[in-house]
Amino acid sequence: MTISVCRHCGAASEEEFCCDGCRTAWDMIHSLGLGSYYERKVGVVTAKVDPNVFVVEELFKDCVTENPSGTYSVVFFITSVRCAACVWLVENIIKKQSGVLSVRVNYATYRTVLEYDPAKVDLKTILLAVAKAGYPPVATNPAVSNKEKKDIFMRFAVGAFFTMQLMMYSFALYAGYFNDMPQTTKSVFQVISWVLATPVLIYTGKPFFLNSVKNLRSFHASMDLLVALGSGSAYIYSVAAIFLQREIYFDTSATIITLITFGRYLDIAARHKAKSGLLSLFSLIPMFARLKGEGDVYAVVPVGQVKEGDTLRVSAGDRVPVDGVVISGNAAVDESMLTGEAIAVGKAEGDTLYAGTVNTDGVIEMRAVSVGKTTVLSKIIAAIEASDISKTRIINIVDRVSGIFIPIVLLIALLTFAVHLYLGSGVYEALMNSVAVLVIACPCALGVAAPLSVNEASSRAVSIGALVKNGDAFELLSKLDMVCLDKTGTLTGGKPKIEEYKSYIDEKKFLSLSAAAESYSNHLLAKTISTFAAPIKHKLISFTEKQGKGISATLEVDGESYDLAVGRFDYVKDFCKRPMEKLESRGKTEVYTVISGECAGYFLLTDPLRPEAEEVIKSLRRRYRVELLSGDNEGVLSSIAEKLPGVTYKAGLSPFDKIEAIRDYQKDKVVAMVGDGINDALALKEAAIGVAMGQKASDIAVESADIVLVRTDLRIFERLINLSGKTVKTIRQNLAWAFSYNLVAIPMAAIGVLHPIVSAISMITSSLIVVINSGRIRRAA
Amino acid sequence: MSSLYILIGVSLIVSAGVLALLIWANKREQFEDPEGPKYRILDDD
Repeated sequence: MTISVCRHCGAASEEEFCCDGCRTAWDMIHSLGLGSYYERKVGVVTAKVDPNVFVVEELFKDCVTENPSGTYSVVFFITSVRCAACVWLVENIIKKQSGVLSVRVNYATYRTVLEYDPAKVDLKTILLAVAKAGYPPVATNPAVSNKEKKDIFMRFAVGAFFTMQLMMYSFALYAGYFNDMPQTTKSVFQVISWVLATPVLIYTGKPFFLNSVKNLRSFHASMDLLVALGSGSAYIYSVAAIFLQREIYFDTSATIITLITFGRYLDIAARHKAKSGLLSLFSLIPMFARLKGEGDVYAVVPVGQVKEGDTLRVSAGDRVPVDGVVISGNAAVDESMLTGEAIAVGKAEGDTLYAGTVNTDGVIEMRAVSVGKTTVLSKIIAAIEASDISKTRIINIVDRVSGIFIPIVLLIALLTFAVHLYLGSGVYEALMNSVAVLVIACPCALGVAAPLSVNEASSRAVSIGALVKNGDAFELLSKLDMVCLDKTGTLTGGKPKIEEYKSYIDEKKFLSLSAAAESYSNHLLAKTISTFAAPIKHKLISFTEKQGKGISATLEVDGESYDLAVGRFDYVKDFCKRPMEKLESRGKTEVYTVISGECAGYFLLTDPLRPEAEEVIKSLRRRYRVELLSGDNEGVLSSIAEKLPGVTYKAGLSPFDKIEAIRDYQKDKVVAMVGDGINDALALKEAAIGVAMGQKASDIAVESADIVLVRTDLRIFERLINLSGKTVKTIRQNLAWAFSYNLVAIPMAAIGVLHPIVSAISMITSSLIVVINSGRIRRAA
Repeated sequence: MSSLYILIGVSLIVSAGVLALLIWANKREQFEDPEGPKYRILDDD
């Protein structure tokens, strides 16, 4: 018995379609000329699975917390949620369970928080209800929470609140300076300012002071130190000033901290957004296996229960649960998540299967060889998670500038003290003036100089077709030395071209018959052949397709019947009466046609470079070193490299070889990696800048990348490089403006004529210029 | 002039109330999901 899958819905079916509904849908889609829908459909085949296998209670144990009132709270993800209607459905299914007190599904991250009464309902019942509706719940590590973001938001909000209150009194004091405010009123306002500035310094400013202590221990000057120095000295100076009846700088102290915290918040919020999608990695891990028991009975068990040496069955539409070897049966397995190769690979007895790949047809029995954390997929995922921590971080441009600025300011403060002392002012006067230098040292605009520019650049990037997940990518791209590219899907467009063909019979007959038979298949290669020549006028008698291998059809032409088989060598050779000869393909894909038991001819197809890719590579080559890293064979790559002068290549690389190559280059270079498959995912993570290509990029590649191009178009990447240059230039300009106003104020402080109004005005002006200057990026590139 | 001090006192008390509201809102995760509410108004429960 052969089990194949329904051509429309992908459910296991012995017929071509599982039901009339699917046949109607398939006919309709084709009659509208939208057959390519079936290529776009990702993760086509999902066989019906017992919802029980998704709900393994041990997995959800860590997600549950007990509330003081005796109820339980659970946090988990629902990955198959697609739209607002799904959220509504899931929420209402859960709400209908008695004992559920509240439920919320986050629209952006699909994080589900629910509270229930353990006396009335158990978790399993609730999760099962959701899984039954087709939304398998995924357990999550509660450590992946948004604590950091929430914390910094709170610090910013409190800081902004008190700073605004403080400003009212500061303005009154400024006005008082011109209108001769009575000393008592002035003192009252100053004390109120003190009260309002204190929480900003202590609460909002706490991270800066903690980091500064860390930096000081390692003799490393950073932006945090500059902020702590400026705001701290302004605060202490002002406290002293209240008692000495001088001018106060509490507003300066509070504004610096608040504005720079705002910059940090922008940064963290952006990072957080990029990170929250990470869990889709886990959705690639198969959840169940069909374990062979006594007497040919197959039990569906959670994949965690599979042991090495177990015999498993993989039906059409299933994900291969663990790494193993085929014992019997054969099937076409879609390995695109591992290799990026879009065409399913035929597997027969003795072939290796990898966990997470999808069986697209046929039924196979396999023996588990490696399970759990030792499968290739688990290793890749573990490596990706680990590299998140080890990823080389560049030293921030702002930190670098701060590092230079701090010693200069300290030196000026010291000089001020010495000079005043030398000129005969008292120790007290000299000290006040030198502290005033420190007060004015830290520019408010410093904190927003980079985040604002990066924000603007990110939104500009979206409009040219790139999503930048990591703001550092702009700075790194501007320092780029080398670009590595994957081949399939990145350089080649997945639009095969017939390079040559040979016919052993009448050429016209060979072409028109092949075209006619292939027109019934949705396969990429089949489509190329079916449009290459005009199909002969015919009547279709029968048609069967082996996905990824070939088709066989019986056609009636002018009353004469032809049995055709078109496809890969291994497939068509069984249709030929005489033994067939396999060609040397030299980097090309061969498709053979057998007509009525005789080999009629063959086609040689190549996957040519996209015209835009060729152009972009040539222009990149002028500025950077360019290398192709591919899993393909030497022949394919050398023929491509011929067309791209100056481009080097490495062939036959495994995903792990790709990391090695990149790691090696990164010893002295800034490397960008462009790719699309899961086989590139590790390399995308490892490279300083990972770029995932196009809509067809696998989820895992998108997760690993710093930049995602929304269209399969390398020109976007080139424009992004230009945008990065512009962005970094703007950041530099911003920093120059931020510091220049302080440079004006520092001499005034050193002489001893600085007034809070000057300090306030210079800070506001420089901040405004920074905001406006960042806005210019929108028109860039 | 003493009315000024009363007003300052009142303004500080009012703003303390606003601060309490802010802290409460953040604790209740009011800023967690800025996307959701606009869809939720369409779901008539």
